[in-house]
Amino acid sequence: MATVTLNPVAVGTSPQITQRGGIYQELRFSALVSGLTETDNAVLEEAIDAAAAAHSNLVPGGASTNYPGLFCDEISVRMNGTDTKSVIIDYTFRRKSASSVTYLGVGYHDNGAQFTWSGGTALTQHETPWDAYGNPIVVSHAWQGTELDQAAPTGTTSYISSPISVQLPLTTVTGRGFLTIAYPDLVSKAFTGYVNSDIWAGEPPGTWMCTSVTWEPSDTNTSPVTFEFSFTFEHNPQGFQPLVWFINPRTGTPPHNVVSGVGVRQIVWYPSRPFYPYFPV
Amino acid sequence: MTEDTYIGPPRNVTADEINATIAERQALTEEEKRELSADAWGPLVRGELRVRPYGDSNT
Repeated sequence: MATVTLNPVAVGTSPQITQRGGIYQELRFSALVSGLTETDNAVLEEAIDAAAAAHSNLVPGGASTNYPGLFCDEISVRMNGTDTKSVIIDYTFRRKSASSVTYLGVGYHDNGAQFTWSGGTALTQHETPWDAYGNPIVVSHAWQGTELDQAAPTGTTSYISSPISVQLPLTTVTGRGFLTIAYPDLVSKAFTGYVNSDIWAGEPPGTWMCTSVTWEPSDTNTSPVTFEFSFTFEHNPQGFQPLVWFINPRTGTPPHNVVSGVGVRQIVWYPSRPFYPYFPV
Repeated sequence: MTEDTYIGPPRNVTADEINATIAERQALTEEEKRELSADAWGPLVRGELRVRPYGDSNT
């Protein structure tokens, strides 16, 4: 009867584990199977079967005992020197579809989901009609009678609202993770173009928008299929809902004393959804 | 500036409210967060969530 020894010291093999970004990525170890009875290369298959019989996870797709999330992805068999009745099997456990993704999160499907995030912030040119305190940007001039082309009677004061061009920090974050789901397109439609209705990532409602969702199959052996999702969110400190202003048709600018909620209104156009329950960050 | 003259971006929450919300969430255990996430993702995973068209009222 064949004997299976994991991580046999006698043949000089040692297990290896690779961790990246705090997540275990790859596990390698060997097994020595001795006492085989088949002849020629038939002992190779006999050894694989004997190891699987002794340890049920030593089969393609088998889950690692000590490292959750790693699955048997590669089995390589070689003879043990000149001994025709013993072989060494090298096992490689990897995260699902490890070769095709740069980040790997863990999908709990019905039990919730975990995502890993990347992102950055950059300044973007932006035109604003108000200052940092929410005041309309207004400049005025008192006519003195000395200007060559005086636009109003002497002694009066003219006011003009004047939007200015500023740099606005816009932040983009991308969350990646796996979902085992039958309707991936429903997920993309449920988020793309939506703004947060709750406080999310430390910012007020309406200031985050999901601008992109992509998905591609990661593991077609699960039922339903497991997809790797990528959600991209952009943060705009001024909010995404569009603004409409009353514009003086003669000057082409808003009146300086325009009233909030009447002469300048924020229109609700983009649908909203609470983000925190889906992405608890 | 007074509230009457404020015309900047909508301020539907205050900094105190944001800080209180963050503190509440930091107090959640990983298990509580997972349950919250499961409740949210469940309808999507099961295909039960209706996506409202643009122009419809908010969800």
